[in-house]
Amino acid sequence: MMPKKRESSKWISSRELKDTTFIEEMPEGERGKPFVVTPLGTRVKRILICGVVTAKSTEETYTKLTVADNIGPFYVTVFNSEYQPETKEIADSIELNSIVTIMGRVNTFKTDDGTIYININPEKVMLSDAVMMKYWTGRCQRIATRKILAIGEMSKLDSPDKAKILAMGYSEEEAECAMRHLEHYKSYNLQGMLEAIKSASIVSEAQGADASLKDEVYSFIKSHADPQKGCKYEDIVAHMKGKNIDQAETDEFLNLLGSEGEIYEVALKRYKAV
Amino acid sequence: MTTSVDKLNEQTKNETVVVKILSLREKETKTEKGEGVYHFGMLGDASGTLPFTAWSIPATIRAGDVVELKNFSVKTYNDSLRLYIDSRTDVVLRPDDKLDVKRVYRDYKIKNLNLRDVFVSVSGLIKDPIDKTYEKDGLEKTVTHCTLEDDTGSIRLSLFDRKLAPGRYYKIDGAKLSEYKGRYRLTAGDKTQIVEVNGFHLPEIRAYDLNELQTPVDSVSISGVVVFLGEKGGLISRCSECRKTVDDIRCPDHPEAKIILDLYAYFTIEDGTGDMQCNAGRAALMELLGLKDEDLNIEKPKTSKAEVTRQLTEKLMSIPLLLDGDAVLGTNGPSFRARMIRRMDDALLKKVMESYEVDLQ
Repeated sequence: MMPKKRESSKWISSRELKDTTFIEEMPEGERGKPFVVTPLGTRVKRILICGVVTAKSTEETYTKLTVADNIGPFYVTVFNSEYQPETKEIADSIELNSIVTIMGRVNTFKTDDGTIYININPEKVMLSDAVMMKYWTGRCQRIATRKILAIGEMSKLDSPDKAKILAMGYSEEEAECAMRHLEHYKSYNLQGMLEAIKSASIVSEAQGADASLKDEVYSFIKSHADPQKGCKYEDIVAHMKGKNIDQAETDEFLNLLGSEGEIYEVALKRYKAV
Repeated sequence: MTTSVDKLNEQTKNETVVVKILSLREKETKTEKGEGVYHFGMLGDASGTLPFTAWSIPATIRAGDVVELKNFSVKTYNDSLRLYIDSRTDVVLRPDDKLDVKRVYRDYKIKNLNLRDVFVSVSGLIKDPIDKTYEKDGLEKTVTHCTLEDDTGSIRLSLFDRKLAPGRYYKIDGAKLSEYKGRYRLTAGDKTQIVEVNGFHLPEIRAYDLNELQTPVDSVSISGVVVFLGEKGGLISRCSECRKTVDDIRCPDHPEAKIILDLYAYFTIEDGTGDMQCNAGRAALMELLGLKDEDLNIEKPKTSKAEVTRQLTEKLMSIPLLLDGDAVLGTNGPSFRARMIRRMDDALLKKVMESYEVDLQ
């Protein structure tokens, strides 16, 4: 028998996973977890996500994490498995607000009224950085946008035709996703999904801009601080005004730098870099 | 009515053509209904050429024959027109006829080349020519191996007794495409027409989704996250004679040969559209790990197997990477040979994302 090809992970946003309402039936005699089909037609069993840890609760047998991308949360449960003991150890050591990349299997739970809850059971938990999150967000946006475009083209046809979508330059996966979307999510609000995906990348860019402005405040304090008395608050505000940043925003950056331990107040409204 | 090859289209019905069979190949099929044979090849006349498939054809027909065809059909297959001959088609051999054929080759971007179309037309920039001499019929001849690059990738091009200026753009019309060790290459023979053309824009990064790389293409980029790193890679020992990896202190086949230290890594990368097996050799890994040749001197190595493994894990895993290299076709499907591995920072990420966005605009 040919060895089964490893199922590669799908990169999808929290919104696409949250809106999922279709679980495939397991073929008779097969064990394991079933595939779910998302509103964009993505057939998912393994997923790779990246986001900020916003909540964590640790028990002896499992650790629960809430990981937020730029749209919403993913819910992650790491069990104390004898096969991957290091996965729970890493999850336990992760601090709130850390950026993580998680690869894992989707696990579904269906209530009596038909509501589906989807949880991720990680195979790999990796600490990441802001660049990784921007990359993952950008890739998810590209993949989802192409699928939405393929669905749009398929919807224009008299009847679904994979070959015609392939001929337009879409991939096999995109054409199949479009077919599955029309089969299971014909009345789904794609425009809402598209707007959510676009907003995710705007947040990413804004975070990048914020980071560079925060660095600007830090650099100014570092280079303009009197060795004893530190840098005057008024000088920092005036410098940032020159960069079109108002006083309230500058206060935010000062608070952030203070909470991150990058600067401290030597005297009232006088700052020094650590 | 008799028509010519250049007039054929999907609406063609009840026409007759007189064509020369330029190539004829046989293929066996196995289906639930049983085994069978069909033929395919190229045919042409003074107006052009066309690929054909013959579900049924007289056994006497050979490549080079001139035939008259009636009751055939024409359909689009793989984006190009194809003539179909079946049991209803009249195929009449015309042994006394001679026919000149006008060769017409389809224009391809390098990324889109595939072995379904062996004679092709490709335009690009000539780079890195290397001349080699050989003897044929007692005469010394020259073959020039060079790189042909367009906006989608590059390919090795071999030119027999012809010289092209590096740094200039040419259209290579009628080059032959072949595969060697999982990579495509082009050969320009006597009948290949070559003309200089105007240059075009070559992008700094040609980033592809992993699911786009199903056929070999050189000088492309992929991005992604490494989800599996092979344990047998890292700092390895090789026999200087046969270059094989050795686990012992000497090579079993060349016990006298010197053992050298080398770097090798194999890993699986994912980008959300699929996964791909990748490998990287000494040059790519030395740059990634910041090592120099002298660090790998087996007499006085400045690193260890454990240290290289630790660094590879740190520099490859869970980080967005950009890999520059060649997509090759192996026994297990497409794989990627990385020539350079870069960790993405904000500036590089922006360029990579812009490269991907070209097809969404």
